[in-house]
Amino acid sequence: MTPRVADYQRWVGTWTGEGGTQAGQKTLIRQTFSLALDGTGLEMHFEAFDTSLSVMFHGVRSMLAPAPSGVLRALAYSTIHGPLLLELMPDDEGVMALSGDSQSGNRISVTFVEEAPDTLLFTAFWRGPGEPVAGDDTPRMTCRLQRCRPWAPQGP
Amino acid sequence: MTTPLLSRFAHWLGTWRGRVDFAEGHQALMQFTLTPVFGGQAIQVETVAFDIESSRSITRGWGYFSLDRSGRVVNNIYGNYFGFAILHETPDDPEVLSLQGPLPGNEVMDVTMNVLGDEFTLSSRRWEGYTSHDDRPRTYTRMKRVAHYVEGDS
Repeated sequence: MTPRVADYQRWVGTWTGEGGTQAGQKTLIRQTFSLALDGTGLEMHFEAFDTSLSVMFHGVRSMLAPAPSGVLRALAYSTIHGPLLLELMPDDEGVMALSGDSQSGNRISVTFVEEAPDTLLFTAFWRGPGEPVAGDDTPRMTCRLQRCRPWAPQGP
Repeated sequence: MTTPLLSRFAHWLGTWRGRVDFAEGHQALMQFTLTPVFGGQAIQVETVAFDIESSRSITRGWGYFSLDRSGRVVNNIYGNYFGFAILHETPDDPEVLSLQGPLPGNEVMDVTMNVLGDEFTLSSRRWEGYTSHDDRPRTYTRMKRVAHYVEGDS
């Protein structure tokens, strides 16, 4: 199916989880989705920290928006890869699969899969120019993200 | 803590608003908001042009300024009327930021920006990628600062 921004509107909010980096470290992840550009775009903010929350391994700020042709792409800035333009790949409903090359030629792949209404499975990996195409055994950053809700006091 | 990017562009941060004269001949009210992200590794640029009569937004844009390894500005941008592009800094006067890059459809975009005091001027042009003619009209924007960036806004 060809995705639209509206297909991801139900993801708007903050998502958090504990996962692992591509290099094998434990990481805490915070991901937010919010509507932007008069509702035609989806702003995404990603942060992955060490477990003490004192080091940010990776941060990505991005905007998913339609080209004049209607095709969705994501504009992004990554603290590791710099400026990015990522293509939204056709996929099943409830999946956001983004892929593209960094300015230095690294291949970036990012996927969110909606496993349940309040659960997203996040996976991402990158490989340098000339490195073999990723296979099932390629190391990835992975994290199961849960929707984060504001604390509310329990009733008596 | 500052960054090389903020050392150069901190005085650009904030919200700017003013008249835009589009290359096609019509006018609108343009607003730019520049905000540092990730401690100033990049600057997020959000743009919107409003119809003067109805106040409705007629164009929307988004982008990020960052520096490449040689210290030149890279601006990956989105505009709802032209799509996506990556612009690279081209030589100009030290206080001027000039950028150029390809657009879809064999077009090239060039943008020139400058901030002097509380005035932000910008001109841009789209032209066919295979010709070097410089006779296409440019879009001109002259904006005044309406808000300074306040730490913690992002």
